[in-house]
Amino acid sequence: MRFLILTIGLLASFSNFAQDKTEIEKSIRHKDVPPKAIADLMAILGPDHKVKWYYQEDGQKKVYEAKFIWFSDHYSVEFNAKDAVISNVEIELKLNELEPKFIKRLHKTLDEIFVDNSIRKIQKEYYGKPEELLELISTQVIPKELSVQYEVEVIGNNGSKKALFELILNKKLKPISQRQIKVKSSDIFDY
Amino acid sequence: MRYYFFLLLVVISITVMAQNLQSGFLPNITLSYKLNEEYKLVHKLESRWPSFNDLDRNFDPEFERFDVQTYIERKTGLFSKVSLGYQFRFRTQNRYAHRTIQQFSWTNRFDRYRIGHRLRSDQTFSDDRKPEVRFRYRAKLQLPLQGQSLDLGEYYLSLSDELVWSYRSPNADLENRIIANLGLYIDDKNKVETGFEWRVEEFFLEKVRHQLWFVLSWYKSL
Repeated sequence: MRFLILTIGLLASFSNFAQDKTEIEKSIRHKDVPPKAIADLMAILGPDHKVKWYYQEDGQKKVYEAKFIWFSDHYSVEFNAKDAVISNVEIELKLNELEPKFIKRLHKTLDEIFVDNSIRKIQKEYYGKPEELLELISTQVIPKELSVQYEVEVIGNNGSKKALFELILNKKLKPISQRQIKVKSSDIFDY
Repeated sequence: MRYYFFLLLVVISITVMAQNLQSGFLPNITLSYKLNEEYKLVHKLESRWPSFNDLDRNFDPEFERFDVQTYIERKTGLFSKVSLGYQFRFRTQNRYAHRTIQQFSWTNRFDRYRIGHRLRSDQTFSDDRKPEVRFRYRAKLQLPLQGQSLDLGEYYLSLSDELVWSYRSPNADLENRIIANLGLYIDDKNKVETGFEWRVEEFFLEKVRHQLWFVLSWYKSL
């Protein structure tokens, strides 16, 4: 028992040591979400719809994020922490359901950046006025006024090395930004 | 966190009811050093301290063995690697054993969790026993407990199941190892895990043997 207490104490002290970080992303309960965000979303989805809530802080912005499945699509909706107003909607696109024309344009963009590449995930992101974002969720019809961009996760070789990348593309699938995603160490799986 | 304690309770309950039981402590440390973009050197030190069995029912921790493992690891893809290893085992009464190890491992990434797969074969040689060969497969799940992805300073749950088939003339054996750990991702260079490993061995014999080990692991990258 003494050994067990010592171990838990050791683990807790490691935890305190590791708290020095700028990014926070944690799962939260419904009761900890601003009532306005819940009310706006549940008015569309219905009170019993399953929604997972998260709180995120990255030094620049603080948001509440709702994740849910709606008409077979995976949605991720952000609300500003300050006023609980909706700020963007992300919908994950199914790779096998993309139009051939769209895929061709996407590959053209990726081929200009990478020697070879493989798409792992693609999300369509909408930005605009709160009422238009809520209308998008409600009707699944995209209001013309919304800004659109794509977030693409790709395994690619940029000429120097093969790595995992996140690309932000504009509406016309032209690159806005690119960053390498650090692949976490897998030593706990290997040994 | 509540999932972890629930699982812990299940493992303890099953084991308390089990016959033919041995339990104790299994602390280990894994040190890894990246040689270049492709190759990595890994050392693992592990000792085993049996402390309790269902026959005499006394709590008496005793040193049983100490393993030193060294691997050379090569990346074969972004999420896969092959490793070749050697283990030197020191046991009580100055008995030794040598083991050669070959493994292929790969990881599947999902939005919220990761699953690691490990295929391993090993061959053990010692003066006092016949050589033994083993083939193993392990699947390990890592699930963050504080959000949708694992960030610095956060806890995670790791669950794994490993099937081990072995042959030492003239007998073959099958063993299953279930591990439930609570982990802390301090940073990418430091991870600590603690929990229980439940081994059920000698499936091919009349009476299976149970082992329950309290595990404390530290993964350190240099």
